[in-house]
Amino acid sequence: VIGPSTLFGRAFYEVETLIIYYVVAINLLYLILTVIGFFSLQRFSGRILRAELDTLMNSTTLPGIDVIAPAYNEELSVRDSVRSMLRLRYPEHEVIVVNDGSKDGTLALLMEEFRLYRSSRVPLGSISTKRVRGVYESRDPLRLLVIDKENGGKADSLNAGINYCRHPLFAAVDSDSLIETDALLRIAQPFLDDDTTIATGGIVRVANGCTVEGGAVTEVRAPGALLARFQAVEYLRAFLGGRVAFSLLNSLLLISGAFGMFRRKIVLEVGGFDTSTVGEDMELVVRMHRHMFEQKRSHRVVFVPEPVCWTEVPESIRVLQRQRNRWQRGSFESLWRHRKMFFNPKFGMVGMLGYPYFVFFELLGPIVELLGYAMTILGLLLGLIRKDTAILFFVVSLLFGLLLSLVSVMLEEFTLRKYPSARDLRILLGAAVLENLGFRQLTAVWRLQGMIDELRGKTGWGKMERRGFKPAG
Amino acid sequence: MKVNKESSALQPRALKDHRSDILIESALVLSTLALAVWLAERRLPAWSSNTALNAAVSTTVVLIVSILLLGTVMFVLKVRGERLLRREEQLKPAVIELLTTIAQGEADEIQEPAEELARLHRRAPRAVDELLSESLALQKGEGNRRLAAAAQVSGIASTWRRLVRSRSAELRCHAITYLGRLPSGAADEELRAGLEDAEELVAAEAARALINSGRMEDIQKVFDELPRQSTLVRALMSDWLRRHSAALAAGAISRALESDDPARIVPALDLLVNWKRMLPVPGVGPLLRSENGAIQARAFRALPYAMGAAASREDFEAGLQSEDKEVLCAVLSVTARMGMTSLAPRVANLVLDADLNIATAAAYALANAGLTGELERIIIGGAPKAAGIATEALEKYRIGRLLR
Repeated sequence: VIGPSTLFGRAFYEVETLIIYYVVAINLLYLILTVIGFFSLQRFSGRILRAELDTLMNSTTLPGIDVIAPAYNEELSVRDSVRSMLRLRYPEHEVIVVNDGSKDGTLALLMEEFRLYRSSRVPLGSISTKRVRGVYESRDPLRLLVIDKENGGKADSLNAGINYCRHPLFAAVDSDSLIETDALLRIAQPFLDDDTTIATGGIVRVANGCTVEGGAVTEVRAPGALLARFQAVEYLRAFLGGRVAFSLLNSLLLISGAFGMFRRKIVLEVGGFDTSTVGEDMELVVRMHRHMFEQKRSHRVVFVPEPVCWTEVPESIRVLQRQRNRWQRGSFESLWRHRKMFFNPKFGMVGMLGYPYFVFFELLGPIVELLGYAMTILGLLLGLIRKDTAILFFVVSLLFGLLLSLVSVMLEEFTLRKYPSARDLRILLGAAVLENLGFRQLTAVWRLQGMIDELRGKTGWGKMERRGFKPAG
Repeated sequence: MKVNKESSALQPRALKDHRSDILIESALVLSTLALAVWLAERRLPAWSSNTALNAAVSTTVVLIVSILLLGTVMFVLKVRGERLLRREEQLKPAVIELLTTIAQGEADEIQEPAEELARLHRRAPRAVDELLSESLALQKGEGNRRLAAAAQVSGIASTWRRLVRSRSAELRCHAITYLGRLPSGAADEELRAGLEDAEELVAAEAARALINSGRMEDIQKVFDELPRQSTLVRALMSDWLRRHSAALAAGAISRALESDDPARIVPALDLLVNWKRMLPVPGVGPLLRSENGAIQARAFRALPYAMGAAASREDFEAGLQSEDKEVLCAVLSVTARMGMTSLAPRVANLVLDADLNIATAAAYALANAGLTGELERIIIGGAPKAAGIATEALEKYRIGRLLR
């Protein structure tokens, strides 16, 4: 009944072959994206010199920007983050911190540190949000606004921030992230070049291991913890390869929630961030694309291949598991809500390339990968697959992943060179190798679990723990 | 004032779109890889009875070889770069000494030190380029002339001219910077051509060099190029043009304001707003009545800096009745500065506007004019939104005083 020549055996063989083709296809696609990413990075000439930055600081020509940072139980890192945001170099920007009903001392700390007073600031936007309990501004000459509201989640906080914005552009920032001092100018550049730009994002880097002084990364180092090193490699792969290429092909679906910039008018037109999804960053970008295509308005979502933001990644398996689970649920929700765009030429390259890529490779990727492993083991046990073939399958799929990770690290060294020491480069290359021996498979399991949770109707973010940044000395 | 509402013949510069180049290069690399996989598939022994698995193995083998090659190239480049850097560091004192000798005119003839400079340039091109260019920027008069002569005789200036045609935008940008430091007339052609470069930062660098030359005809050329530049480069150029503001206001800006071309008028008005300097530009006055909203709004914003621009109460009243939000906000932003307190009732009415952006601008206009009584009347007037906005403006006014 189960032999290789039976119907079951032949079906098994066909499915196994399909999985191998899938593995080859997904890895080749990553390779294509990485090659495109490499040539894009080579050509990227948006680097503004520091002297020119000084010149631009006095300009009244550039549009003002609001920086919105939701904060929930962030007392460990909020002081550094707000300082970092206030220090951003841009002719006109205001920092809006939204305290999302924190249960710890986030608000008290902000009140004391920045000498806040209760302000009469009026919201100009009308996106509905949880009740705002109070609005505060600093007694010092700082462009800082703190909104204290009832807990409603990140998307709700961002919407509250958007309501209080006074400038045409706003940046949505995680309050546990550190922003490079000239990041606003760099990430705003596509808006200055082209009026049709509606959203931009930049490279997010792993801050674990780096030295932080006064809210700024002063020394770039590879993370110390193995789990953080794996994520550093993952971030390189995602940002230097995938997003650069998708931006070039006008089909970017995701602007990182850690730091993204948006045209306020368009975000208000589409009703702000969706509070009912855990993937509000991706959902908003997809909705903005859809809105603009439906209204037949030309638009661009651009990825700026420059490091703009540093974020603390989880160093505990439990927290990382929750994060990946949430990311997968977020992607699933966003894609399901806008399924109308799937392979729909009405939505241009987004519908024909960006969206299908997410469905086939980001969403179904973990399912197929785990299915491949399971079938190989099952095939071995049932005698449907020869032992050498099974070993070959495992080796090939591991090597593919490994090679792509190595290429990402090389891409970093060839282009941006943020890690100055050779030791750090060796650490990252080592992590690129080890990442494929267990970590990759583990994330596939978490992502699959995320899909299952989504189908079972699970909601919520789960608890995140912060360790705080490593101070100088 | 009638202004052509259609866009002018001068279109904004189309930023260099590298997309096709990138896609072609990527396609070439990927085709080479595909060819290599096909060859590997034919040459390598069959590892398994599954053809898909065999294809995967061949692909992996090709990728491993490619990565090894890439890794070797990376390693070689890194080592070579480090060696070049070390050599440059070693040669820097000698280069500085030679440049000092040339600038101070200690050598009898330029030929010999120029040959030495050329020899050093062959060994450490980047260091010599940077040091020579910095010396040219620092030295004035005779020293600058001697260094420029050395750059010409040694052939370094010719190298810079060649670099202007390089495919690399970074190299072109460097070359323009270096050439811009040669004495006036030495590289004008290249600098003027640089202004047309598809890469905006190269164009900006050329503009800076031409502005620094101080020649009015070149400054005028940069000014004429403004409408074609992106907002970012326009902001940079605006600052560099600041020190020629008086001359530009009397000539090019006034002529631009009198034209009927929005593409020339808008950047000229933006310059006035950005410079924040009182300048004799009476041409701003008639533009307060422009039919083009973008121009009218900018004209109002530029008004506080426009000496001799006639603005009447009627212009402001007409502006306050505009249906264009941009114009309305611009008028409100300058009413206090222009002392138009007699317009207070009309402005106070706008605090009740349904558009909260207009209402806020109106409330702040009252606060800036110190008309706190008007704001207090709105607060007790009963309209909750307007009262909230008036309270905010009043609070800002009072805290603004406290901060002072």
